[in-house]
Amino acid sequence: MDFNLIQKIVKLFEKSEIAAMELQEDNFKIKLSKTGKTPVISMPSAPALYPHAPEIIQPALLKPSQDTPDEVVKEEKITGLHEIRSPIVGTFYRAPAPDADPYVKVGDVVGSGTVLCLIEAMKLMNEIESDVSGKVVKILVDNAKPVEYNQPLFLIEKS
Amino acid sequence: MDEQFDISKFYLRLDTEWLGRNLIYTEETSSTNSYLMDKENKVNKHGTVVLAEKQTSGKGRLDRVWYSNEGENLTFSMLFLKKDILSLNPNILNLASSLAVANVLESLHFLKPNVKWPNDVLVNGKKICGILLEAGYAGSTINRLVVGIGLNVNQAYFQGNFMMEPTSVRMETDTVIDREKLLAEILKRYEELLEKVKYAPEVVLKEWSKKCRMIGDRIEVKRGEESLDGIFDEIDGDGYLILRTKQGTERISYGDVSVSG
Repeated sequence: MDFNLIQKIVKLFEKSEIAAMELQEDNFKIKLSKTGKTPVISMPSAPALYPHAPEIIQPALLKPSQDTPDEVVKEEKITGLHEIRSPIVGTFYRAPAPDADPYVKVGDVVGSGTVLCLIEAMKLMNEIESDVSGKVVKILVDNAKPVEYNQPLFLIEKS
Repeated sequence: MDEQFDISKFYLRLDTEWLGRNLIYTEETSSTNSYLMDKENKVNKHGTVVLAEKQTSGKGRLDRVWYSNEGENLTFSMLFLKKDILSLNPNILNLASSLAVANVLESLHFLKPNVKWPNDVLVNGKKICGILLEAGYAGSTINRLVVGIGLNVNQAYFQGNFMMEPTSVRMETDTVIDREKLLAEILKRYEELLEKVKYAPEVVLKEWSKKCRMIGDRIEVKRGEESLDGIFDEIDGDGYLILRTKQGTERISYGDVSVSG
């Protein structure tokens, strides 16, 4: 999501009567909430009265008062990157043969179904295809190195 | 080139439920494995077998090549798309592939084949069959498995340098072999072994181990620059080679295995 767009959303939210909102697009999620101009800070009462669940006050809410309404902007998974993980234990190869060009390089745009690498285990050659469309942002394993089951291999920025 | 492969004769011999019921016969292709791995070819029938009289770039591990005289041998690949097969342990399938070929050479041609980890078939210490499995994954979900088998059948001699001395069924039996019958038998045995891998994988591992003469020997495992030396103790429940070295026990997932000394 574009940063300018986030700013616009925050401004609109500030002006609005809405107390809290949540917005999600693909892997990007934003949560906004207003805690009110005069936040009611409740201190934990005597333990005897609330033996089971003493209220836990978030440190953020206990901060000195702010001029603007409190805004808790929480960004989860800001990266939005898709991980390709190894389905098996084996050896990671970036090319179909030692002298061949690699299947993909950082910066390459791949489609769903584009072969990304080969993982060999016991004379079983496993062609790993991308399951998303996007751009190869990072290759996390060196050529001819062993990989474990579920080890992340590629980061793809989804398009 | 010997006699052309007779497709109708093959179908008459074929006694499988589903494997090889769809046979694609081609005079020439780059590699039967590549043919089935390539989605552009739109082969989407589980159990399809592609048989080529000539492969222009028959494949081995990585950049290795499988050489075979045109029209004399069996170079074919089988396609698996159904979940019951795709969910099987691929390492055990790998071992089962060499076991299927070895069993047929034994029962049909009275040879005494043995298997070499992970999936070569040898007769009298010479290589008669090479197998290469290829799997396609979308992310981490397997959606295609291709088992390629190159079996030397009627080739009378081999010229050139090979990693391991080759032989053929004809050379070992002094007879010209009925390729249609041999292929039909292998597919039948393969289909049966798939059921065994499903319901009794430990039996497959046991049968394979019985046919592997290297177990108990001092071996060398070469992988890239690295070389490991030790005793081939056994294959474990997942089909990995258990190598006892001076430093301890290693679980080997790939490499070229040879007897030391």
